[in-house]
Amino acid sequence: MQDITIQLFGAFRPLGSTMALQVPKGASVHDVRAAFADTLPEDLHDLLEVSRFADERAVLAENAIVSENSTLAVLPPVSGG
Amino acid sequence: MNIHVEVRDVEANPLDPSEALSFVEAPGHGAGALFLGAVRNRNQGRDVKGVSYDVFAPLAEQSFAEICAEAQDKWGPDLRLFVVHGKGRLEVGGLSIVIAAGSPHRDEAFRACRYVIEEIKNRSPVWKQEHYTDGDSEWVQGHALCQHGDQSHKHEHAHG
Repeated sequence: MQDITIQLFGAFRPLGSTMALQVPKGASVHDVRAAFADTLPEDLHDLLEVSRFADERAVLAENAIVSENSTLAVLPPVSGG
Repeated sequence: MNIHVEVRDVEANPLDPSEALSFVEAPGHGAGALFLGAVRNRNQGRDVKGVSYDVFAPLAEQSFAEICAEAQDKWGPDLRLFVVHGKGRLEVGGLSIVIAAGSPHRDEAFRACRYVIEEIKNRSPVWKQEHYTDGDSEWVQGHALCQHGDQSHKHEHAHG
């Protein structure tokens, strides 16, 4: 297993600003999504379905492999401007 | 450098349109266009007293820079662009975003300014939490982000 950190934004903020997760080595973004979903209250599952994961440079594809000790951000639908 | 992008804590440093216009001036530029986004007192039938902006700053600045580079591809390398987006709490009338575009002629400046705000609304990681006069607060429903490599400059968005 490996430790990763998820940064929380928007409607995920009530859960805190970050969350620590453990995922298997070689896990994909899709696996991170599933592990994160397990920690969420029921009413945030629909929001997670329309959210994406990103690092500081780009929104990540679901099949991207997550490296050890990485920090990912979970991004709900955006409403800037 | 003819592009400036930034996420700024608006509670400590309010946004300043004159700073944006100064940045996009150049001797060869006959046109400057300015877009200001401000907190409105009413949204979807509810009375709003303020908005808190949450921003994933590194990716937001990266997305602003990409959008500005796309605008230069479309309307030429002479285009100067300034984008600053606020982070933190604003009351009604407070400026949340300032965009300025400077170019030799007005058409490019108007079009670039419009392009940058529309793309930011669709693509940049920023979230609005509205605070209502009745004491309630809600996160505004937004635009779902596209997958990596499938950004809006490669396909048309149906939403607006």
